[in-house]
Amino acid sequence: MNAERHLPLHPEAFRILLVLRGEALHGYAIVKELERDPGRPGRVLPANLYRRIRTLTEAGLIEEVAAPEGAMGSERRHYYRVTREGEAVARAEALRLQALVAEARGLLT
Amino acid sequence: MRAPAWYRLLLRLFPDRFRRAYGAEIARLFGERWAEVRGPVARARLAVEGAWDVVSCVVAEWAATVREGLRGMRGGGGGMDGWAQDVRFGLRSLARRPGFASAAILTLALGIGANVAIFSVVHAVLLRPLPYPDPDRIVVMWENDIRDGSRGRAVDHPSVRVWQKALPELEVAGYAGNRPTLTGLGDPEVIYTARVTDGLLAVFGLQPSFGRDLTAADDVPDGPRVLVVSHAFWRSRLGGDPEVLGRTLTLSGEPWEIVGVAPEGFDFPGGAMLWQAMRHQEEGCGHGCRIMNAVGRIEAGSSPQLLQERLDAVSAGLARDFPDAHRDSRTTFEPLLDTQVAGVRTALWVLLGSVVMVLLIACANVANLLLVRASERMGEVALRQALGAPRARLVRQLLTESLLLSLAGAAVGLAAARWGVSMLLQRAPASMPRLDGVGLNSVVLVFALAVVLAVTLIFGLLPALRLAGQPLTDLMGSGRRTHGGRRGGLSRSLLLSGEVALSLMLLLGAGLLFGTLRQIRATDLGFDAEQVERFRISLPESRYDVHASLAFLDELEQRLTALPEVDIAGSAFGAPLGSGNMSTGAQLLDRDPVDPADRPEIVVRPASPGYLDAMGIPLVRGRWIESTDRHDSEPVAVINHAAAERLYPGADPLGKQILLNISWGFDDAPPRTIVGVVGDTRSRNVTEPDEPTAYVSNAQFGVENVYVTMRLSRGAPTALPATRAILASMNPELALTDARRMEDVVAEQLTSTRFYLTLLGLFSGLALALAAVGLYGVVSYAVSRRTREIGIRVALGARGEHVLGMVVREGMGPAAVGVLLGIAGSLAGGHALGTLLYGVEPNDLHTIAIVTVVLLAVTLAATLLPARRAARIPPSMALREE
Repeated sequence: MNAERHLPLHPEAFRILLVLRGEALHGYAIVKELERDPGRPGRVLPANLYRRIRTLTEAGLIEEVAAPEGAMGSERRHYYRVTREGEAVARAEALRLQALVAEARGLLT
Repeated sequence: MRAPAWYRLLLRLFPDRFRRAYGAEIARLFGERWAEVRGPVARARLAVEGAWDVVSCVVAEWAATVREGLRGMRGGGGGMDGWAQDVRFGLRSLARRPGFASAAILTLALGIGANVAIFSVVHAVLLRPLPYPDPDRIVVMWENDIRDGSRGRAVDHPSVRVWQKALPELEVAGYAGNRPTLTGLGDPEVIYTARVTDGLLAVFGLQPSFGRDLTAADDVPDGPRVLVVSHAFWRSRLGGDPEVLGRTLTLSGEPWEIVGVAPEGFDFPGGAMLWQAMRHQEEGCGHGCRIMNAVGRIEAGSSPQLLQERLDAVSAGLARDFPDAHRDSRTTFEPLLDTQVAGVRTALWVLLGSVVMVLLIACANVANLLLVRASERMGEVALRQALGAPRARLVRQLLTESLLLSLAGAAVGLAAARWGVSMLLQRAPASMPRLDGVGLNSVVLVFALAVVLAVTLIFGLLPALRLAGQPLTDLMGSGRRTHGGRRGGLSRSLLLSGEVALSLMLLLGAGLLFGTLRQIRATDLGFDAEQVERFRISLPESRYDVHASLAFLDELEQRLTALPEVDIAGSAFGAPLGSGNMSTGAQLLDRDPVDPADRPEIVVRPASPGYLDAMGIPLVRGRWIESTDRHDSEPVAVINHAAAERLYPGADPLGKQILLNISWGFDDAPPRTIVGVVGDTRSRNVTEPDEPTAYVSNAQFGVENVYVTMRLSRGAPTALPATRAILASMNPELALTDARRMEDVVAEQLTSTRFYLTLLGLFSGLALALAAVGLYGVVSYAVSRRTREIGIRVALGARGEHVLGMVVREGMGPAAVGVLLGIAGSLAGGHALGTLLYGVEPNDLHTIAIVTVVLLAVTLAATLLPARRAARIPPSMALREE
């Protein structure tokens, strides 16, 4: 498994990986989690979100899972969760950003 | 929560694979968001964002699909997605009919190009926000006269101070334009500056680039002469000197110290190079002395309604304390952007409306072409249906072809728009603000994309649905012989009527503007502009007291009149057609004492003895100002015709006494005897009649800032070189500005109307041509499909005229319906043109009649050509058709 080939991640993709780390979420919940980021410009829009979900799914970084027990609503929603590879990629991206920040600090101070 | 229907419809544009996988989820997610927001504005915003989200993703997905498809083709043709196949198929099918394809693409290119070009102007001028932080909060203050509802922007200095103190939710600054002579930095030059109170930069949410902004301590009588320079001035004129603070500039002979440099891009009032401390002297110019304008910034979180209430309270207080100055006035405010574009807003929306109409006509034409083609393709479609192609798939295939057509049209149209925009910029009237941002930027491209999608749906959906919706048996059975069925004929007729109606509306607009141009040309300006040259001169007060400046102007006029190029020279404060007016209340001393507040407003124009002849204004009665009207002789005034009518209706004004409560060089304002009446001139612009005006002898008034007018001798092209030489010999530091021929000034008054007329004329001509071509195409097609029927009719004894009449009726029927619809539409919507017209009513019967006749003649011609062909069909041809 080579996490590096997915880097650098698009910031939005990175955040999706982060919010899907703990539990499986459906689209609306992902949106709400993403929008809790105070630095986000504007709202998350559905079509772009699902294009990104599609890309991440195809790359094997997240996967669709069965709805968790006790999920609300009778309609079938798609739930997503991060895969092991996705977790590795997120970690690699975090390290990359950390190194970048460290370098920037050295330059700016 | 379900997403709105339009949104679900939009989602259908996605390639199948993506839509099947995510369409329902996307729709649901958007539905949930839709349910969250309340209120029309928030909903509209979400709708725009959502639509853009889908459209951009549709394009991206589609591009990805095409890329995939191309890869698939290279790999041997396997694994292609439906869309790529549709695109390929569409390209092939269009390539088979190059005539049809190029006609459709060219038609769409004209429509799309015109829309993109006009929209780029509308966006830059009307929609683009001002380049300052929170531009919506910047407002202009207005002083409204409660009695007659008129409003003016000028306010007085004490009011600005009161607003600054009493309204914490409003930051206010006052400013007044100024034209001092700059010396010591190259040739002497009159520049445009503003005299300002403190806080102007703060109103715009800005800080100085460096140094400081002007403060309240600078705006005191005899305060320091300090100024802030614009970033551009600092760069170009001061060499970007970082040590510029503390340097002095000489303005009209006085030293001014630079204390700050404004941030880059700050340009208010437009064109100002420097902002000078106002150093306002309230003694002599206090309450009621309205010589400046005010702008303000509404603080975040405070509501405009509440602010207006507080302003009203402040106005009431001022009216109570200073009734003479404020009794009948109310202060309001309006967003700065609105006031800047007020003069062109209607015109630009009308133009955009016109190009949308042209585009609709173009769409109708292409739809007609497609309908015609649809009839020809029934066999092919039937075959594909019989082989099991689902109807949705067929619709998509046909829509793909339409999309290809409109994309190609947009590509050609964008190239045309680039050219169109540069033409527009060259010819745009000088009164059009904010043209600097016009161009094919990303917003304009998004608009173009939206137009492409809209256009595709408009012209592609109807033929596609019709074709795919036919029952199989119909397609197989009747594909070849009849002319596309009753429904097809009806759709084509409706499209034709629509085209004709839109063309009529556009032609009528152009006709009304043409009438306006003629009316403006025919307007009597009240002066003779031919062979008149004028320029402005301003004598610095520091060097010339009133006697010295009068002597200077006297000598200048005499020396100019002595030139061989000049017949006579004269001068006056301000010039006809919009250059400088001062007005005051007039008190008529021969009347019973009246309420001092009820003084008719009158323009005061100090002038010299030579002015009347130099400008060519007719003397109606009595005499004009003469050289014997000096400061020590009896004060006199000459009024214009409008003043005579207004002040002395039905009476003889000569010999009456009038008191004009205004003074300049000489501090006294004595009663003046009216000695003459002269004709009216258009003082503001061609379309506004002259205001009541009193001319006074400048020798009895004393302004040092005048327009000098020279009537040139026959054949003399200009007197400016000789004038400059005279001026240089009298004082080399004086600059001559605003030198123009009056004929050019008059011509300029026509430029905006001519500009709109040119564009509207172009668009309506385009519309007419498209409609005629469309009509011709439809009738020709109908004739060719009915060759057999016509042949049989002829064989059975129908005469040529009968056939001719039958075919003409078929074409002219929809055209007549269109004319009626167009007239109805014009009568309903004509008032939109209202402010652009002068001397012509929007429902002018004469123009409507002419336009209707022209339109009917053109449509008749377009119908007659194919009809005559039909009339000559011999019966044998019909048999051959079999």
